[in-house]
Formats: sequence, structure tokens, C-alpha cells
Amino acid sequence: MRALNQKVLRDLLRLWSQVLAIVLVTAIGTAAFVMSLGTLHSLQQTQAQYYDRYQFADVFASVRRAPAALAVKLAAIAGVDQVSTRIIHNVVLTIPGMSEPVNGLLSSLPEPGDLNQLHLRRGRLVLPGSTDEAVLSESFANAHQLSAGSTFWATIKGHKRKLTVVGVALSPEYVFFGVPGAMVPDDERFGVLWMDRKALAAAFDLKGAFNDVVMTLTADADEAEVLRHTDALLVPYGGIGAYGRADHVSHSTLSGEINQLRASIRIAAPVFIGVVAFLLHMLMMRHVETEREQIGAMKALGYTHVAVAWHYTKFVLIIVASGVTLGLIGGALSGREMTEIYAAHYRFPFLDYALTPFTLFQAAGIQAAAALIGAMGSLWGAIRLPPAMAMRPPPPPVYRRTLIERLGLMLIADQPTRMILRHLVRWPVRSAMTILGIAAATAILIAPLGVFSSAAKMIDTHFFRAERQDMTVAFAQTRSHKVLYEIARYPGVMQVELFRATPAMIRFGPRSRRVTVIAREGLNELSRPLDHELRAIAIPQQGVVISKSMAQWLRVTVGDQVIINLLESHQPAQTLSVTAIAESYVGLTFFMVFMDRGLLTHAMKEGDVITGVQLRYDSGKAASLFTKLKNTPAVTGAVSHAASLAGMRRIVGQNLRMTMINITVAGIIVFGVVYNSARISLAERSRELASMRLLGYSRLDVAYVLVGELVILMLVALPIGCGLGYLFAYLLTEGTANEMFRLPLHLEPGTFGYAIIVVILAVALSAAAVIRKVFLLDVLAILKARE
Amino acid sequence: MTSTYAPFPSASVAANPPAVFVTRGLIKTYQTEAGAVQALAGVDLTIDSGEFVVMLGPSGSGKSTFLNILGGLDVPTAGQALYRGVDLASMTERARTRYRREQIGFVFQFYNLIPSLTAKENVSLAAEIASDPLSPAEALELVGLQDRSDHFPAELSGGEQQRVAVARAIVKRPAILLCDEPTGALDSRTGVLVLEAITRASRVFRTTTVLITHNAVIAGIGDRVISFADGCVATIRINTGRRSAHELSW
Repeated sequence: MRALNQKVLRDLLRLWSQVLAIVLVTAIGTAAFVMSLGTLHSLQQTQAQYYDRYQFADVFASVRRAPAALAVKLAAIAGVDQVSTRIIHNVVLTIPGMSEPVNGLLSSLPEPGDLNQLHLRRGRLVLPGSTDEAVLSESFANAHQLSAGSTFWATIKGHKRKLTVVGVALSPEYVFFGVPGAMVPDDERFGVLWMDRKALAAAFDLKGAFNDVVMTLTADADEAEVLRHTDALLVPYGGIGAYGRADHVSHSTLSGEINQLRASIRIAAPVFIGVVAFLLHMLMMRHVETEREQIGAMKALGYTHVAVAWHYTKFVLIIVASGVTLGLIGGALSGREMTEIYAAHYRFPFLDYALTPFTLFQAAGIQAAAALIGAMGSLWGAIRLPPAMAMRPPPPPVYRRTLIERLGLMLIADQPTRMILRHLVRWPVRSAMTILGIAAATAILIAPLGVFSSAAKMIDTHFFRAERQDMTVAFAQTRSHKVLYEIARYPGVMQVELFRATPAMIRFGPRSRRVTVIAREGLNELSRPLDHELRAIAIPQQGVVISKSMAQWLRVTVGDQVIINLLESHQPAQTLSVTAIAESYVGLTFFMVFMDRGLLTHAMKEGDVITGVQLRYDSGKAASLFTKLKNTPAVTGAVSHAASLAGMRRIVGQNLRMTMINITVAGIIVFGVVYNSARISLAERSRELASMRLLGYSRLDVAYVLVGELVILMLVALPIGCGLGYLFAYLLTEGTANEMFRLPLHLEPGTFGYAIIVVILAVALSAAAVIRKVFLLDVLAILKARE
Repeated sequence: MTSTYAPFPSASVAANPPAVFVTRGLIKTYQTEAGAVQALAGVDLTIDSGEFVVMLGPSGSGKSTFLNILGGLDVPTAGQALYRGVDLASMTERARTRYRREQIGFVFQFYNLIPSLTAKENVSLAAEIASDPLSPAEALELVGLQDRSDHFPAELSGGEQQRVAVARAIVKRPAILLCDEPTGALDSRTGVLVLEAITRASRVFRTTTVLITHNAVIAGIGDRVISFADGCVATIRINTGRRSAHELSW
């Protein structure tokens, strides 16, 4: 082996601890990059392929009852490519072994050539003309262990009908879905079932008609125009507004997840790249400095600049290559695991883990570039050093009295403390970089913990302050408000509140958006909007209360006049003033407008009707209450508060794993940065530290000089890290916002405390490692050796 | 700039024009934070082929600067330093690197070995980039270190390290051997061993040798003794009775 290669290897071994720290940081950075990018590509690719293969629609609309012939007119709208009509209805299901009512979305089976085709996983499709066969969505079938041949009951139009499962399927329309009105998907309590269209047409009195339509658009279509034309055709038949993919729950949730992943890559990648560049910069600066005379000797022997530079570049490249290789393997493996988590979360018929050579190349290239940029300065120094200069020891660094000293504040400080301060000021860039490294690691810790505490805040606010009912019961159609008295007499019911929900378009200036109007009366106890101080808002008799996200989206403030067009009535639009803005964290409440029920009744020119109730019940009598509800023909949905809460906690819990990974990563970064700084300080100052020992300073005094420096750097870094963490947390919660929930940025003092403790521990660990080195310092050998 | 890249005449041919180095009005000034320091104040000197020159002088007299300029490690501020008629100052950095690689062997006071390489590997470091080197083993044998070739610098005594440095300097069979205080850090007994290695190598390869010392005793081994003072040549003395290294002690 060439002598210089031998030297590279021995140098790597000699500096193993610092090299290992950098290799680890590089590996983790690369792994995170490969994992997220691989998962991102997998999801994007799978989504696109799935939609394409199963002809996922672009536009969706519901009507009360439209004649089949209308489909031809819809197809004639400019920009519409294909139209499929359907019959869709909410039903309550009775599943053997489950006392709670289960919500079902009953849909007509798409015919060959229709949009939103099914992917049959097991069994077969429904036979044409059969009235008691159903295909179930896979997650629902799995949750109840239903398979071909299993039977259950559905309450269709007030009649309990026994159905037989013949197949299990997936649909691009329901990659991600939940019961309308629930916060999170709940496979046990909500399922989609497909039946023969003729059977449904007969059951729902929709022969020769449809109540739901989906359409694809041509490539050059103007979606807004199509939606407008569609509404014009459907409104006479009870259309309540067509919407595009952006408002489709499954699609927007999936896309939100993809965006979140992209956002986290954008935050994490620069941090890792920066830290790796910085660590290599420090290591190489010191390495080249200590080898000054060797560089001189190599040049004196006739080695060219290029040969010398290449020698040190090899040193850098080996470190980076080891880190990148470890990272690529780790990233590929963890990416696969991550993809499997997603596969379980979403209902894809296939989910390919797409790790392309380009992704690997990108990850490796970015890290290598960062490393070389980091090392470049010192390599350049090595090249530039004239050999005669290199042969001489470097002149002693010029130290100056620090500003603090000049201000006279240091009169009481001892010499070691002065050494610390002057050293920090002597190397301002390095001190700043160390501070930045520790701060970045602190931020990496705070951000996910911040998201976590924000989620806890969201759960507390939504489930324990805003929505305090045990169950929300929805009716198929409007019912007289007198239903309230009937339900109040059901077994176990302790409290009932009623509501009327209806779709509307809200408009303010140029912006308009589809919303749900919730009409109630005065101050409610169970379900109520909250102001920013989380106090219940009473529904005003005039005007409206709108959700915060809605207000932000419309750029509306209290006192503004908004125009509300109630889609279920043919009455002219209402102009109402905004009297209050309600906090909204959970999907359901994002686009909500609260209005007095009397006001709504008046506006819609309808009787005193409601569409649902919220109730609290005695859990001891739950079973008989559920039975009663399941046998109430009007009920088409019942959402359990406890189940929603459990589901939300499950989702938040999944993030905990991510937090653990972050703690490990941040710990390694802090250790890498701090340990490297300390080791370099030790190497640089071994002579002066040895002199201190000769003068009679104890080992602890000497350790103080090094550790004191670290502590000062850490103390400066922590507040910066806390600020940076707040920013990262903000970016993450914004990135996390999706159709299901929006996290209120809420960082508790404990979050900062926790991050600070982890950083202090990592610093303490590095300090301990350095103190050990100080104790092993061979004073005489250092002093005898020439610099 | 053709002369810059012209091949240097080989050592054996160089016997004809006896002057290897000619310097005229050589000046070197360093800029330091404290101001300008003149290391060389106009040195005119000629060194002949195969000559063994010893340079004496106190610290700061300019001898190391002079040696570094001869070796292509440094460039003069003014004046000329000709190597076989080629001005070293006018060479490009690349040409100077080639000059060091092909013509010069250096030995420094503090050895300047690579601590992470063994004795033999340190010698190989020079051999690998030379056109017609000795084998590293031969070079080590010449300095009497054949048994220590697998030891790292830290495992060798100062004298041994310096002899490795000598072996590293001669392994390429250089035309010129430049030694800057090679015994400065050594005691008399080990210093003599190092000087023996240097004189043996210069005799065997008929190498032109310039050796810097502030130890007047060592002057006895040179053909000529040049004394430096304040950046100038103070005296030049021709040694009529050259002594061999093993006769010395201090």
C-alpha cells in the first residue's frame, strides 16, 4: 500500500472517536433523507398509479334525487370527460358481537367502465339483481372478522335487512375515510358496503334516478367552471354543491400526509447537512493544523499541492463514505418499515417501496458535497501553506483582552476563567458554529415534542371542553324538534341537545367556500364553540359565529358581513355579521358556521326541524340505549365520543415513535458537536494545559478550563435553540395541518425543560469524555515535544 | 519560461560546470506584525558540485532562510539563486515542486517524520515519488537502521528518528542534500551517528551537501565553512584537514 494511504488509515484510527461521531451524524442524516424521500416517492407513485388504474374521479356531487337522463347533460359540460352516477346512503348496521350502533356508507356497486372502480381483494362481486349481497370495505371486514358468507344487518329505510358478505374490496375513493362527523377513521364503527344498484334503487325509491355523481375532467378543463355548471344542473334536484378533489376527504388527507413528509424533509435535511459540514470543518481545521509540519515535510519531499490536498480529501471522503453507506443501508431498511406503517394506515391495494438509484445518489451526493464544502477551507489552507512556513511551528495565536474584561467586569475572575473567555473570543467562528450546532439539536428535540404537546392541547380542548357529549346521533332527514323528547326518554339518556346541520356557501369579498352551518340555541353545555380563551360562546340570535380556520381562510374579522347561501333551500342568500370567532382544531369544525336555530329556520322558511342530537348517557345502560338507537328508523349515524378520542390518541401515539427517534438523533448531534469541540480545544491547548499542571494546578482546574468553555457555549446555545425549536414546531404544526385536525401551536415549559435536560446530559457526557482525557494527559511528554 | 521546465542535468554530468548553486545579491524580507524583518541582506555565494559545505552562525543570522531558498522551499524577495544556471525564483510553484522532488534531499532539526508511518514507510513516502530511488531497506541500511524499519517514530530515539530522516532524504539519490541543524536536538554520541550517516551518503552518491549548524565542532567535517551573521556571509574558510564524523565530540 502506498505510504500516504497507510497514513490516511492510521490517522482515521488515531482520531477514531471524533471520526465515529461524524460518521454517526452523517449516517443518521443520510438515513433520514433516504427514508423520507423513499417514502415520499412511494406514496406519490402509489397514489398516482392507484388513481389512474381505478379511475378515481375529479369532481363529486350529491343531490336529493336526479333523473338518470341528467347524466347526459352533465357529460355535455365543457371539460367533463366521464360521468358515473350512483346511489349512496348512510345506514346503521348491526354487527354480531357489537352492541354499539355501527355506521355504514351504502353505495351502489360501480358497473364495468364506471369511475371509482373497486379492487376486489377476496370473494366476488355482487350478483346482478341480488338484494341481500354486499361487498365490504377491507378494513371494516377485517375489524369485524367478516368474510364471504358472514351475515349482518343493515337498517335500510327503517327496515332491518339481513345481508350476506360475498366479497371484500378497496376503493380509491376511500384510501382514507371516516364516519361523517367523527374525528378519525374508526374501522370498527364505520365501513363502506357496496350493493347491487337495482336493489338500492328499489329500497331508496330511486328507480331511474341517482343521488350522487362523480366525474373526471379533461386535461384542459377549468374545474371551477365545471363545478359552477354542475351546480346549475343539480340544484333544482336538491344538489348541495359539487366539489373537487381538494375537498375530498380521502384525497386531501392523503395529500396532506405527503405534504407533511415533504415539509419535514425540508426542515431536517439542511440541519443535518449543516451539522456534518460543520463537524468536518472543525475536525479538518484541527487535523491540518496539527499536521502543519508534516505537510511541510511532504512538500519538501516534492509532493505537489494536488497530492497533498488529495491526501486530506481522501481522509474526508472515507469518513463521509462510511457515514453515507451506513445511512443508505439504514435509510433503505427504515424506509421499508415506514412504508409498511403507511400501508397499514391507508388502504392501498399495493404500495411499492420505490427507492430509486437517483434517491440514493441524491442523498450520497448532498452529504458528500456538504462534507467537502465543510472541509474545503482547511484543505485550501493546507495547499496554500508555503513549505518553508509550514516547517516552522505556527506563531502563537494572538489573544486579546475580551470586551468583558475591558469593561472591567472581570476584575474578580481568576486566570483560568480568563483563559476560557479569551479562547472563546479568539475563535469566534468556531464558537458561533458550536453554539449553532447545539441550538439546532435543541430545536430538533423541541419541535416534535412541541407537536406532541400541541396535540395534547388539541385533544383536551376539543374532547373535554368543546365536545363533551358521549354520542352524536344523526338523522337521515330533518325531523321535528319533538324527537328530542322521545330520545330523552331512551334508556340511560341523561342530557340531550339538538342541532340542525345544513350545507351552505359562505362568501366574503372574492373568497367563497363550502361550509356546514350548525344551528343551535343560546349557550349549550355539551357541544359548544369556544373562544380563544376557551370559554363557551353563546350562539347569537342575530349574526354568526365562524370557525377560526374559516375566518383565516376568508380573512374575516369580528364585525365583518358575510354572505351565506343555504344550499338546501331556494331562498335568497343571507347577509349576516360575524359576532365571534371560534377555535377550531379538529377537521369537523374547520369549516363551520354557528347560527341561531330560529334564525336558520326563518331563513330557510322551514318548520322547527333538527338533523341530530348530542347526548350524554349512563354507561351502565349503554347496551339497551344502543339497541334502542339501532331500532330507531330515523337514525342513520351514531358517533361515539370515546371511540373518537381513542382514535385520536392512537394517531398522536404514532408520533411518539418519531419523537424517540428524534431524541436519539438530537443526542448524537449534541454529542458529536460538543465532543468534537472539546477534543479540538484539548488538542490545541494541551501545551498550555500541561503548563498549568506543572505550575501546580490540579487536574480539575485544568478540566475546568475546557468544561467551562463548553458550559458557556451551551448556556448561550440553549435559548437560541429554544427559539429555533419554537420556529421548527410552528413549521411542523403548519405542515401537519390536514383535513382531520389542525394543531394549535402549544409549547409547554416542560417541553423546553425536557429538551434542555437532554442537551445538558449530552454535554455532560461529552465533558466526561474530555475530562477523562485531561486526567490521562502526560504532562512531561507534551512539554518535551515540540509543537 | 522554457528554462523552467527544462530537465535538470544529472549529478554525474554536472561534474563539468562545477558551480551547482550561484546566488547574487540574495535578499529576503519577512513581513511580521511587528514590522519588516530582513533575514538575508544580499548574499553572493557559489557552491560547487560534490562539495560538502558547513554553514555556521547564530540564530537569526539567515542561514536557514538561505538553505530554504536553495531547496526551493522559499523564494527570495530580491536577487538571484541559480541552480545549474536556472533561477529558482523565476520557477513556477509546480516546477519548484518538481525540483524538490528530483534534486533535493532535506534533513531538518526536528526530523519532521510522519508519526503515523513506520520508519520504512516514511522512507517509502519519498521513494514512491522519485524516478530512480534506492529501496527503502537499502536507505535504512545505509544509516544503520535496518533493524528498526517497522518502528513508528514514537518508538525511536531522537537520533534514530533523525537517521530515518536522513534515509528519507537520500533514498531518492538526490543531487543535493540540505541539512538544517540535523544534530541540534541530539546529544554528542547520537549526533555523531547522524553525521556519519550524512557524510557516508554524500560520499557514496557524490552528493553536494549543505549542512547548517551552530556547533563549531561540526565545521571540521566540511570542505568549506561559511559563517553567517546578520543576513550576510561573514567569513569563508577552506578546510584543509577534513575530519571524519566519528572523530568529533562536543
